[in-house]
Amino acid sequence: MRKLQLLVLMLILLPALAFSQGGRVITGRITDDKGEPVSFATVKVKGSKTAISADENGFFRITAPENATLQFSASGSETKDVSIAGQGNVINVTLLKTNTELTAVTVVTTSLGIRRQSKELGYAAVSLNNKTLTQGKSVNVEQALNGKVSGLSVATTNSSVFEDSKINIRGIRSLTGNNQPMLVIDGAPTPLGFLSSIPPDDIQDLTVLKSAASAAIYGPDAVNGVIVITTKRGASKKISVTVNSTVQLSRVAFFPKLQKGFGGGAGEVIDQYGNYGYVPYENQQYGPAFDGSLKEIGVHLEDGSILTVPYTAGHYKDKVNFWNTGVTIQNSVSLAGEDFFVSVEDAKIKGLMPKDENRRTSFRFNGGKKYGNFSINYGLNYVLQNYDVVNEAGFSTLFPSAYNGSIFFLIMQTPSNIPLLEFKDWQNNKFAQYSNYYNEFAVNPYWVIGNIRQHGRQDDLIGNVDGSFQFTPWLKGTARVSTNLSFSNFQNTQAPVVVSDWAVANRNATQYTNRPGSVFNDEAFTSRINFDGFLSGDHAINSDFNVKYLAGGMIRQNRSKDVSVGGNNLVVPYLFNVSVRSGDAAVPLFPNNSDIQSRLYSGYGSVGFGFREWAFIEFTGRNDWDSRLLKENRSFFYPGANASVVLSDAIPALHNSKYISYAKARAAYSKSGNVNVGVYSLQATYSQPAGFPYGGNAGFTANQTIPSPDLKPEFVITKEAGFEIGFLKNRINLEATYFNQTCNNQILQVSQSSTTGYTIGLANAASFKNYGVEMDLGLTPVVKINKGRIDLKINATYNNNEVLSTFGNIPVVIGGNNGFIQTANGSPTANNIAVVGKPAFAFQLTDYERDPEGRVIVDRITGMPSQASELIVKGRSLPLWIAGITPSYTLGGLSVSMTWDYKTGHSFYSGMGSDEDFAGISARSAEYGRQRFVFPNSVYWDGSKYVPNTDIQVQDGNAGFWSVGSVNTSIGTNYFASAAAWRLREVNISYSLPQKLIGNGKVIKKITVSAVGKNLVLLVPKSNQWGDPEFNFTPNGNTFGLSSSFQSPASRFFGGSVTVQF
Amino acid sequence: MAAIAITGCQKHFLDVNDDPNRVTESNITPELIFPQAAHATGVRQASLNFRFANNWMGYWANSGSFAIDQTETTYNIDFPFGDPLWQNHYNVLFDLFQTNRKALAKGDSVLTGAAQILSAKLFQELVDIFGDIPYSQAFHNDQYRQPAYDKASAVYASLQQSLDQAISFMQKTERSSFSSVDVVTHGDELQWIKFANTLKLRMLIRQSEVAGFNPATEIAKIIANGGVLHSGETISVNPGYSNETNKQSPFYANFGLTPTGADANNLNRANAYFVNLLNSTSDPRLSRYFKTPSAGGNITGNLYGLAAGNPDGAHSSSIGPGLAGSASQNQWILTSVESMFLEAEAIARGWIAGSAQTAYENAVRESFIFLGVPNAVTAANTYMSANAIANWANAGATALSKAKFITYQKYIALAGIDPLEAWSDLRRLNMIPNTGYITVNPGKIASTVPVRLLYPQSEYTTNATNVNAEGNINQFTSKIFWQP
Repeated sequence: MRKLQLLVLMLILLPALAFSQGGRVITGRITDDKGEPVSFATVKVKGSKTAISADENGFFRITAPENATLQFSASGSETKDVSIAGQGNVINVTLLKTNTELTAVTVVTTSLGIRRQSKELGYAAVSLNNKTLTQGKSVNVEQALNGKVSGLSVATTNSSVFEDSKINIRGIRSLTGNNQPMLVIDGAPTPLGFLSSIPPDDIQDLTVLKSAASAAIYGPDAVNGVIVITTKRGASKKISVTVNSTVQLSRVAFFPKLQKGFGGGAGEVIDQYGNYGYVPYENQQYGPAFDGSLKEIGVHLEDGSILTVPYTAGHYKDKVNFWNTGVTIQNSVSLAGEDFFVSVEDAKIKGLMPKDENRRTSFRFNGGKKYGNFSINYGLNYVLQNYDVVNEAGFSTLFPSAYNGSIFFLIMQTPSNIPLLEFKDWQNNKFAQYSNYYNEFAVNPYWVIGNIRQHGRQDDLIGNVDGSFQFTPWLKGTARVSTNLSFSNFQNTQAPVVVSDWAVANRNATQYTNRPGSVFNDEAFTSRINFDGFLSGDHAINSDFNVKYLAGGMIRQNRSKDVSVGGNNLVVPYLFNVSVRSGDAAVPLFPNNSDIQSRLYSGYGSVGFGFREWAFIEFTGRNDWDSRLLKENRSFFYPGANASVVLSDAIPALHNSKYISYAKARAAYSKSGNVNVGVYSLQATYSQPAGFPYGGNAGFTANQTIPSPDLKPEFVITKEAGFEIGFLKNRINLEATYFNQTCNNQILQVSQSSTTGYTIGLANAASFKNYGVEMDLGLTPVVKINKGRIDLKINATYNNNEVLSTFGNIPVVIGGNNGFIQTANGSPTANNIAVVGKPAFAFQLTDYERDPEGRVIVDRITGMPSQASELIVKGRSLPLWIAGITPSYTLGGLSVSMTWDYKTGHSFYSGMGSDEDFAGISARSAEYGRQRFVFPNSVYWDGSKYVPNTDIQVQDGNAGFWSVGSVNTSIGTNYFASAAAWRLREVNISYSLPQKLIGNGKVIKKITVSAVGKNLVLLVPKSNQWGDPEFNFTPNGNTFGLSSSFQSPASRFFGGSVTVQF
Repeated sequence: MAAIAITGCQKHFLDVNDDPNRVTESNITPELIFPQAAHATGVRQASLNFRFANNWMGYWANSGSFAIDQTETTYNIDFPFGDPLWQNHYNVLFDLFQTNRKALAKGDSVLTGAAQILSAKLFQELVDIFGDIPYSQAFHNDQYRQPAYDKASAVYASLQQSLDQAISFMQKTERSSFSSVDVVTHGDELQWIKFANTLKLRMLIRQSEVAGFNPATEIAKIIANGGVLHSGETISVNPGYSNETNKQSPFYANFGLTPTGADANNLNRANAYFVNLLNSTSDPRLSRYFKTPSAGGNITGNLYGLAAGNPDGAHSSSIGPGLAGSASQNQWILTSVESMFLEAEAIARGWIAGSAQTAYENAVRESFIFLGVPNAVTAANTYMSANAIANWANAGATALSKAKFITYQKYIALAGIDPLEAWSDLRRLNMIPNTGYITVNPGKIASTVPVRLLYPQSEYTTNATNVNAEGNINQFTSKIFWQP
């Protein structure tokens, strides 16, 4: 409370700092030759030290002596002197833009939508304009950001029609909680998920505030950095219309390495020599080598027929060709006028997965108006999304057995002699019909796609209104209400499994059993209402000093409600309604049936001083009250400070330098609080397990988590320092920032022994540090060839972290590998883990028993290795280095650019690897031609010492080795590799048609055509046999580098677009 | 200013953190936990986690429809092997612990006693499988985030005391709510006491081969408190099982038919060894233990550990109607059959007065009755008189020979019902005359069944210091304390 009073006091005292000055008060507006405002131009009284800066809309107010000359200057514009003698008190000035290549980013949108000059900021902020964002024609902004901002990492976790990704700025600050940045759209805090539904075309500019320090004023959500988006708002008096059309195709790329030598068999048939025989209905591929003979596949059907195909790897490519060419068609129309912007966009995405579709239509209206001292801005964005996808999770629950995990795995486990693509018509083709499919243990994937579906719809409405009133020249009041409403529903449907009597009697009952259809419905509503009110202003104290101040408060309420119900015994086939069932309805537990509410309010303030437009310092403070904590822990305060000096203005020698055109040094310190717990997380809970209630008998079981009731917020202390320097009229720009974050009070889900009663304990139980350097280098241009030019932008980030302490020094397991668990054979244990002294996170994996030198110990008789009791801790999940290189070439209307990125220093675990070995499809499993072999780099115990093993072969070189858990598939280190990757993320070629061709801009102002390719090249080390190391089994939570069989293969994109501006 | 304005209503405005969705520690009652915990105890008895014991004991084997499990069939087990069993057992034990603690706090002695008795059964099983286990520090998560391991013998001793206390609780007057909450005996305290006594006897019998072991004190208490479970007194649970998804009786759900009438498992089939054994004695229980194959023919078993050549699921015998009878059947927790065999052995050892022969023969008859053999008593009598392995005349003269004779029949009587008990008897008395139950997998790493499971992977991950303090564990040589 005392802190709050302080803030208020500060606000009250500020006006007292002002004192009157003599002379004339001149006001006016600075615009460019097109009438667009020039933001933050410097207005100086020539021959004096008096200088002020115009506001973001170009308005300025300065007190000057009679007959003085004012000098107007702005980065990227010419400098102009205007004498006030004989002029009125209102002077409007036009500053012509100079060559754009000299323009550095000068304006950034900071806290609460307030636009600032970048030179004032004591922390790192990067702005991207619309052109940069849209040049790659990404469907969503996440994809567009990749490789363009130092310190920012976007990992695409799968290639579904939703293209989920994870965004991290400067690594992580919370071991288990949210590490993704905050999203602010037009001043309104918005759930990060919206980033994927904002059409990149609607964005005016996007600023990435990388540091927690930069965002202290935003409160707890901003601890991971902030992405600030300003959507387009009309500015020009002329109405302009832009039409854009983009088509993008995607194809499967980067497949795991597979064996092409062997077909079906798992030891059911063994000849007298111990060789595995061919089994025509097997999916495990430990059968004999392909020999080109004709062989039957499947079983003799009821009518006696059976398919016969050549026993070769001829259908190897079917595994690739199974996947569709993904098609994304995006069309948008926008209309911009002086004070409004309207756009409609439609994106239709057809996935790699056959029949998967996602369609998004959005509508945006932004407007604003100024009435004297009062101005109002408002925006409304409506996004409708409809999708229809195969429900793989539903599939694995329907057939809970070893082989029915995911479509990808169904495809991968199909032996290469099987004509997979011929089974597409599961309704009519006899051999593709459910009861007759060749495979005794797995379902026809086409049947799954046709029968187990999820379709859903989401309606999002984001609205914001803010009004501000200029009370006095030095005080403005702003009130802003923003809401995010989201209505979503989905329905999972599973058609009945209808099996012929013949198959019921003769085939594997796990698959060939009649099952009723089922349906599951979920309706969810979430809302977030945010109210901000603040007073802000600035004032020139005297000709040297000015002060900026802000104080305000915020109230936020989050609500969500989810209701779901299902029926597993539908009695009328293909009628998917819960009420048309027998037996009990399926009513899922929390959070699928829940009502959730949380509230937060805050008081905040900042005060900043500027000296002669080249030295700046700012102090910030915020106090939060959060409903999710106990009363005594609810309130917490966090302060911050940042400062910057524009050396090129401060030091005359630099100011006049021929070589150095701009130099700035900056530093910031901040503390930020973060309540990393869900709502209602302070008490242990109970729930009714499946089956209960039995009629009148209710029964509850303790859930797995025991929270510590007095959880406190996590605190992050950030220190950063950096410099920005421009050489040769800003042809060379270099920026570097060192950051160091100490993250304390980490709220952890500590894995506990099941003997404690709870497998998870929740407590403030760790600290770690996160530090690094980010660097950006821009060369504009590198070379000029006649009229053409080559530009180059390079960014690199070194980001390390180390766990400093954990609760009782117990390692903390962050997530599991539950993507795909074998029932027949254990999948390896592979976790992200936080261990004191190791990076956050290291991997924890099962490994072989090894001798002190690290060689695998094999049995002296059997030659077989064995699993070690203890798990090993190895590697790191997050990259140590991320680099992005963006060269571009421009010649007139033509521009070509590409983005390469490189990530290294980290590792990943491929869950697919173990599954592939079990099924005998991996290249690995055929490494020794399915013959006995000497386990590489192994030793055995001769009774007194370990002796290198050169001749003891494993007793079985076939399924008896490769599909066995304890010697192969349960060993996590077998599927662990470097995640280093060079990626050609994007190539973009665009061409603006010459004005002559389009009638000199009479009707059509501009036509741009472009071609784009994405993910064109992925270079990985040889040890990675499994594919894209960025994939993760879930887009949620903090696990990284744990992939599973539940993801479609990585893909490559090609596309083209046409933009017409009227 | 806005911040000041809202400070006034801070208390009310922010007090929205009471969970409107879930039952929490503050409003749960022991009456709400117990029915689930009792059901879950039944689920444990029917669990697929015990499949290894059914297989190792020669009761069941894999059908030829699937590749065999190399880990299990070579006895080359690993750390994850027993992990689900361990975690599931502790999970149920925790709900029982919570019932116990909360019922005790409310002064509900009878409910406390019921929870203690069920706990004792599960803890004993854990000791019999793993030896030393976390016990005294288990579930006290406010004090011990990494519970230490107690000596197996100490756990046994403590369980005896806990059962004594439970019996005294069960002698108190029950609350009116108890009979509806008690989905086990429906409020029959006497049955609970006999259940407790049977568990006490089972632990004593387990220690019969420990040098210098004297059960007299405990036996006296058992007798004084009404003795063990007798004919028709199987302890079972049934909260209201029915033929619906997730509501089928646990054993039936795992080994019978699905609600839609399909074979619930295509993997677990009769073991050829056991089928031959029963065929060779014309044992009518065979057709109660196993069904004829769905594709027709005689009851057919598979060879355990055979990689290729076993008949597939349709051509070999699944679990029969004596065990998987109906979707609404009671789920046994401890059978009268087992109890009566335990008593017969105790009498044969001279621990309890009476005729060992009578007790033994009644136990065999009870097995026939339990399995639903037609004309059970007559059939049992015929069986016993016709077969050397069942005729008391061949029981021998010494306590040990009688014990082996009784437990061999007990082995035959518990197929699929309590394979853990049979495994424990084997480890204690090695009473099965021929070793046809041993896996035929040529990759087997020993020709004897393991004497225990390894500690689970999850303990090495989350409770490393304590589990490592147990030293290197070998599944063939690291015996449980009661093993000779």
